[in-house]
Amino acid sequence: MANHIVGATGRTVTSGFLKSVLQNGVGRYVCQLQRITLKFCKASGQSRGVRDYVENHLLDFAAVNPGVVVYVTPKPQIHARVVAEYLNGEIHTVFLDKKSAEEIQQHVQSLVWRSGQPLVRLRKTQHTENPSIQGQWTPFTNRPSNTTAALEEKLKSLAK
Amino acid sequence: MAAPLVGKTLFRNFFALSRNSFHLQKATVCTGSRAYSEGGGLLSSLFGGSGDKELAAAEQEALDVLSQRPTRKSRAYQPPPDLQERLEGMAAEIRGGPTENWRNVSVENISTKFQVLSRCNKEFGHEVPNAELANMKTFQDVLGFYKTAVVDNDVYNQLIEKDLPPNVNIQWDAYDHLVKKDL
Repeated sequence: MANHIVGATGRTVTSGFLKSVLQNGVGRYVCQLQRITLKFCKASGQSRGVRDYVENHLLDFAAVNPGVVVYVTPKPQIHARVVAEYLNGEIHTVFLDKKSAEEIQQHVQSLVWRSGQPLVRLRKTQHTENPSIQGQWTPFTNRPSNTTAALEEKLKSLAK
Repeated sequence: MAAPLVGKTLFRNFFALSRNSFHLQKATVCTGSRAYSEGGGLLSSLFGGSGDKELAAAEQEALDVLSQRPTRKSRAYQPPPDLQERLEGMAAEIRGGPTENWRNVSVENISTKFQVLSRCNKEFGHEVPNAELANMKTFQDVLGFYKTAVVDNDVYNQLIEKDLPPNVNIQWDAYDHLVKKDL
């Protein structure tokens, strides 16, 4: 869980802060999606879009994303879904019943773009490792040092 | 269900059921009963009781016959490269000599249509379906029909046999054992 704080509220949707996987993309980009498994029924009408996708679009997708392993496992009576597994162990399932091949393409592509971090409410939509460039303001910033040196020393000792 | 089983031993064994308990699993054939392991199929395991060999043998025979069904003939069709010349020749024969607008040669006459289309079927191995017969009015229509290639919709086998990229694994038959087979 992103935030393991149990409180008085019954709120189940967890919240967290924006995270990246080791600043992925600053240098080399590593696709965080490890493998996808397409599960669908060979015969049911609800899996029609998935079957269409497997026939016509799957190999193009696999060629464009060589780092993602694709498994196609039809099973009778199953609800059509794609199970995505990420490098951090996260498993995400998207149900594809009654979806068209184009919609499935979009879903699968959005799985490729994800980082594998759990889906939570973001408390802040920004994150930085360096919140201050010139140094965090203190009451002693921009004040003449001869009057405030002693006070500053005292404050520093208290802070430790 | 094959003919030999009808009215043969079903009723006789129906009343023998009470002696043997059987447990039906949801999607698969009853595997716990002795009758099943002795051979035969669903019927002999349900109603076989103390191993009715006649019923089991008859059922096994029926299963063998069913498994030896002839494979479906492929309806795939590729237009031959000299299609147009051949049809031109046929039109010329009907007209009595080569003509410029052979495409407009009519095939609406019943006997002409039969001759032309049955000959095309023989030569190209591709038949005009009954629903399309009314649309074949001139040689242009016939040409249009025989120009369109037909891909036999066995796409999945094609997909598996094709050279797949190394990151794709298609486990097409992984769960085939769960599919209910009707007798």
